[in-house]
Amino acid sequence: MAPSMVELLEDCSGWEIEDIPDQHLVFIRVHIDHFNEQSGEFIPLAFKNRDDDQGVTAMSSDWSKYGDPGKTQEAGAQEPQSEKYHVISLGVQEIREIIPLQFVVHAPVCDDPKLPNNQAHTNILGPKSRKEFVELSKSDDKRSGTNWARLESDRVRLAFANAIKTWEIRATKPSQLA
Amino acid sequence: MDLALSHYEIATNQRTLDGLDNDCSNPLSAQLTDQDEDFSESLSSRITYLDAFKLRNSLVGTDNTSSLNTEGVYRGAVIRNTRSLAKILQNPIRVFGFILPHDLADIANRVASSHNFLELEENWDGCGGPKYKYSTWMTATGVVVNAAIDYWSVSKKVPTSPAILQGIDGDIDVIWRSGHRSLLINTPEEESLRPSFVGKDSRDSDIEINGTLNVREGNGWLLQWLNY
Repeated sequence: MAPSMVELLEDCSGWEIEDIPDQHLVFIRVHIDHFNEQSGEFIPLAFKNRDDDQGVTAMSSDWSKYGDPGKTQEAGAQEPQSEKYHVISLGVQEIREIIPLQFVVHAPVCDDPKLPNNQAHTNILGPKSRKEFVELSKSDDKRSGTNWARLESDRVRLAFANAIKTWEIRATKPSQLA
Repeated sequence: MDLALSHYEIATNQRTLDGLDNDCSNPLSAQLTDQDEDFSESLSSRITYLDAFKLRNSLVGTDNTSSLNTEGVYRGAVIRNTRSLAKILQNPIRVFGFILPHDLADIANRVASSHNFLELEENWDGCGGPKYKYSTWMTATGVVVNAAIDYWSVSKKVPTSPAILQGIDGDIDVIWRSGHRSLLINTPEEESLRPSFVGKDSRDSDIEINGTLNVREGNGWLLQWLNY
């Protein structure tokens, strides 16, 4: 989504990277196909890292201090179909303490040519998939082997599945609208 | 349990046969075309030795593996006569080659729904979602079916239904919950790797089970742990 005129005129130069308290929430946008209605479970693709233009691999979220679920639903949509996205919230403390090797770091977006300004933007850093864990194991002698990578990635996905999620916005598939 | 074949292996044989048509020069094809009139039905049902073994044990209370051949089990491959299993099961459910007892209808539904994964093309969600291979799906659902039948046949209880979910890298995750316990079983895309599992108890973070699974076995003990 290209930045709007209002966003282009917004002065974000004063935005700083802040520490996020444990008690706060982050909002996460989840593609409508990444929730399994039959079982009530989010699929692992909902909690997947993406690479940004600066080479940061992370899962995007929005800090509740500066954001709200509606903005989260709209802001990252790559096309004007934000209704395709659910928005859920997770507790920062739960991510930090329950889900292995995950870090919640404030990362405001300011004057990015491709992204709208977003003071709430927050990265959830840390490997999610087995392949990411395998890469990590290659670069760290203390963590070796495919078995370690498989176990850790299984733990992370189960922890994300078990994390307490609150529905903020529940999207509706077109077939459900009638 | 040397004779036992998992659903996955049976299905793999089925796929091989599909590709061979009537090529009787193939040893496997020759072996299977030597079956009785119910052969095609046997193939479509892909009943496993393991199922027959466990179901028979659960119903007639025997653990005598030598009697299995009298049940019509073809050595190392497919049951010759599905009628023998039909006698054992009341209103069995057939879903994509699996046969489940009627008590496990909900699990059969989950397996049936997950078959849609195989129709997904690359980037099916617009977010880079991967394709899923038949072998991955068959292994993942085979573990689910075998574990459920194994648990059901031993405990006489119907397990909760698992979530069968698309994974990040073409793998498939199964999440199974009961009470305070949760279990994740991951089937990787690479056929050389066994499915792995991790189980947690929300009441005590120190409680965890993890490891890899032999898909030749029923693995019903996983559900015994889950429901403990």
